[in-house]
Amino acid sequence: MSAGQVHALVAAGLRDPRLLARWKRQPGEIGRHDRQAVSLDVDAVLRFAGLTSKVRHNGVRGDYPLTFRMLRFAGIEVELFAAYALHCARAGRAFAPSPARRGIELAAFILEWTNEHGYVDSRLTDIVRHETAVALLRANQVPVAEPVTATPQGIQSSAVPAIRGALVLEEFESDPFEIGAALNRQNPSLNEIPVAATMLGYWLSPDADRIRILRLDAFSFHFLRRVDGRSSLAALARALSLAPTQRFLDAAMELQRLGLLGFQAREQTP
Amino acid sequence: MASAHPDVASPARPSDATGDAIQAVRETDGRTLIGLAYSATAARIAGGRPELVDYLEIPFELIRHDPACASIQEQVPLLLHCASLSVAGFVPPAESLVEAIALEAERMAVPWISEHLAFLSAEPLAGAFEQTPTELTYTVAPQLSEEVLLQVERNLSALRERLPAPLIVENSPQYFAMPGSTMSIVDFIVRLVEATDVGLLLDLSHYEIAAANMEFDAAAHFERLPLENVVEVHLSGHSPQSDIEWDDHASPASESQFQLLERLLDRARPRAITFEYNWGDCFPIGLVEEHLGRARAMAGR
Repeated sequence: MSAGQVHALVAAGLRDPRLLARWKRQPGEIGRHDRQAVSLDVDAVLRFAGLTSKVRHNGVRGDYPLTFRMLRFAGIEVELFAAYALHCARAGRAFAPSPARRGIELAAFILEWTNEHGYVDSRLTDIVRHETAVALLRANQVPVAEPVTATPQGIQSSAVPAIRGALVLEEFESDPFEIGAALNRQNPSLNEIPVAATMLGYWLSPDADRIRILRLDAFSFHFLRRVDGRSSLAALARALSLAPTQRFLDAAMELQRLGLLGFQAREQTP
Repeated sequence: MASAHPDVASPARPSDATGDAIQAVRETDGRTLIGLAYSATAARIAGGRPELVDYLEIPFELIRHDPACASIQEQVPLLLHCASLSVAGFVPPAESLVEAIALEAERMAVPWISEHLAFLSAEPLAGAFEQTPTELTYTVAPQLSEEVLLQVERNLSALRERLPAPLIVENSPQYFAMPGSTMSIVDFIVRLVEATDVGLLLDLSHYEIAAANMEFDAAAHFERLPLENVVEVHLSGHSPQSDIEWDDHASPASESQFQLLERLLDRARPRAITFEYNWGDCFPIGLVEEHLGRARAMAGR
């Protein structure tokens, strides 16, 4: 086999990782090109495809710095990017042109891949979802509700709350800020991070141009999840198996005072 | 002849009209220059600490994609680094691409042009349905054989005539053995320099990667390299994953690379030392400045 054809073989596999996957499944197939070719470490070439895929996502690091650190720390960076290169080749999909979109698509793949591979360490998925929430808001990829004025007056249970701006809600098994702090140390030790359910709201207010990350208690989290701009406070209370007591209304008002909620006077759906 | 890249015209650039405003690399008194591979962070350091950074090394491919980024040469001298010419390949680059690189090198007034000892384009695979060359957008370490050695000599000879500055070649990282290879990267480089006297860009990270993955002793074989031909040095990080050592410009150069650099400086005087800390903008600035200072002190002995 000429050197040119050796280069051709490797280049063809790198250009279309599906070939590499096929040669891995059926080693005899690569031998059809030349007996010499069977000595090619197809696994290593596939991982090299992963490295090049990773480099092509360098522009994403700005939105996902902790995800990249976590992948590297976990020792799965190259393996994951190799799987991603193959996944995109099979889907006939090029990487998205914008870094923002490219990052969001990569993050979605990471979550899918960890789930499929039974990757039990929740800290990776926690950090991916944390950074994705911010990335989605930065990229204006989160639906914004119809504008609602934050009503200064007291409210009644018939009032209909709506989110002001764009909001992403995430519940984590560990605190992403603690994970991030640990990853940013010179010698990260993630075992020190306690398992502690953490609920965060990532909010892009219509009144400001920065994203606020709010620590939410269980009530606020589950309440905000159900706010749809159509259901009244009374209906939301029922959905949460609560009574629309003054305490309930006060808690809702607190969210209104933050600027997170606006209210319409009448219930629009029962 | 099939081309490796689409035809490109020399990109228009804001400083064309004021070409004499650019900073050219100035080599004085045989002093080794110290610089950084281009990134937003590198540009900030170069702007804020000019005493630490003599130049930025910028990829030709970045200038082609975004001509405006070359305007930084109004503040900082630039070196031109390419990953396009497929110097170790059997499919030549497009004439227009070579012309574009030549024009850029002339405009930037660079003292040399660096390119990878690698291929990006390859012949179509025999028996493939599509019989057009395979074009990659990144470099691949070649088969290390007599056949490729001869091809590199031919390619360098052809390019020498077309480029306004000497072309120096960078050793590629080896992640897997290319079928049909008959020699090590060290022997290949020795033979190449014997045949062509080509200048080298010695990438110490790539050298350590090759040694780790191809299982040879980096320190023991280092002195066999034609170190007197080293024009420029690269340092950056590398990291192991899945039993392979990988290039990693997001992590710092290892202590062993500084030790190899010291051994190089004992024998030769490279004209430039470049730190490639350019994957992402999260690299700690303090560490970058520390390494720049350290290299400057080592080279200034």
